[in-house]
Amino acid sequence: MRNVRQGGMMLGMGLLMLAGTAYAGTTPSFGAVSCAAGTAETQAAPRAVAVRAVQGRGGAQVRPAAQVTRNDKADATFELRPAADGGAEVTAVSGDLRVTKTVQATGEVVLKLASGQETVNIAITNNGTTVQRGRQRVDLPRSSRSNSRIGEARRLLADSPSVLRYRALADALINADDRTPSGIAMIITDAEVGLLTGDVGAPRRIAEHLGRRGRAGTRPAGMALDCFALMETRMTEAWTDYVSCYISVSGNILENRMQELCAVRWLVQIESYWFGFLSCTGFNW
Amino acid sequence: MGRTGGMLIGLIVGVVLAGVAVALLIPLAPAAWHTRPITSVVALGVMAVCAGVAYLLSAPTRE
Repeated sequence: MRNVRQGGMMLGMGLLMLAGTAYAGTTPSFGAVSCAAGTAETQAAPRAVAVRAVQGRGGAQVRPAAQVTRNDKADATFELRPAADGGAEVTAVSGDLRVTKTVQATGEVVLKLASGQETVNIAITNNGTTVQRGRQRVDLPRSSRSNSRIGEARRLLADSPSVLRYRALADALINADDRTPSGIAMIITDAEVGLLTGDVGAPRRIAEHLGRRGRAGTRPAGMALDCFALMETRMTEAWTDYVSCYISVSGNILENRMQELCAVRWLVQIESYWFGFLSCTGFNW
Repeated sequence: MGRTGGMLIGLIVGVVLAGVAVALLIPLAPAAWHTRPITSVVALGVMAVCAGVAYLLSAPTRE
């Protein structure tokens, strides 16, 4: 009887331990993230879930639905979709050029250019920029103060047909004034690629292009007015008008009277401009 | 009218004539003279002359 009681207690404790282990392995149903440091298995679990989420019935991986847009002027087709690792991925296809840009929530960007047999990868992270063309690779760490590696990257990309076609595509998108998210994504990265290839003015040009539409509907609310220059211009114009008027009435029967009227008109004009100048400056000229 | 009124009229006439002086100075004088200091001196000079004349003309008489 005693053995049976001990066996029952052991069985009960075993069941409790099993239940506790099972509970610890589950995630909260509302999706909250535990603050406890998990094991390697528990940290890898979300990724496994994500992979399962994109697997179809037959086990084949299904890509997330893409938003497809087309720019006929630039002859480019875009696919915008969430990336498998949580970022956003834009793919542009133009001829045999295939551009894939992946942006993470942290701001890290990976650009892949493929044209023919050539592949160029440019990764921009918080630690630096990595340029890879085929098997050649150049790292540009942010901590480095030397510019010698930038020259290597520039030489590496100088004769790349993929980079050339990508830059031509970005230029065509700018020319077509493509303001779609996919088009803007391609144009913005062209600033970085341009900088790497030696086109130091590319970021400024692209910034101007992006800000052009925003500035189109605005006008300066105030402008510094040069009172003296304004009066000088007006006084000169008034004198030119007076001389023209004086000459134009020559030969008229009432020449003298008309010329006096020209002088009166000039007087009214210049007094108006003079008091306008005094009002503009407030006697502080 | 008194000296005060005379001075006031003199100043008003001076401001108006200063405008005429500046309007003649700018198109007719050499370009090097088209500066703020010269224009200011000319305008203030005309005003001062007018004020001075008004001061003299408005002097009280013995009568």
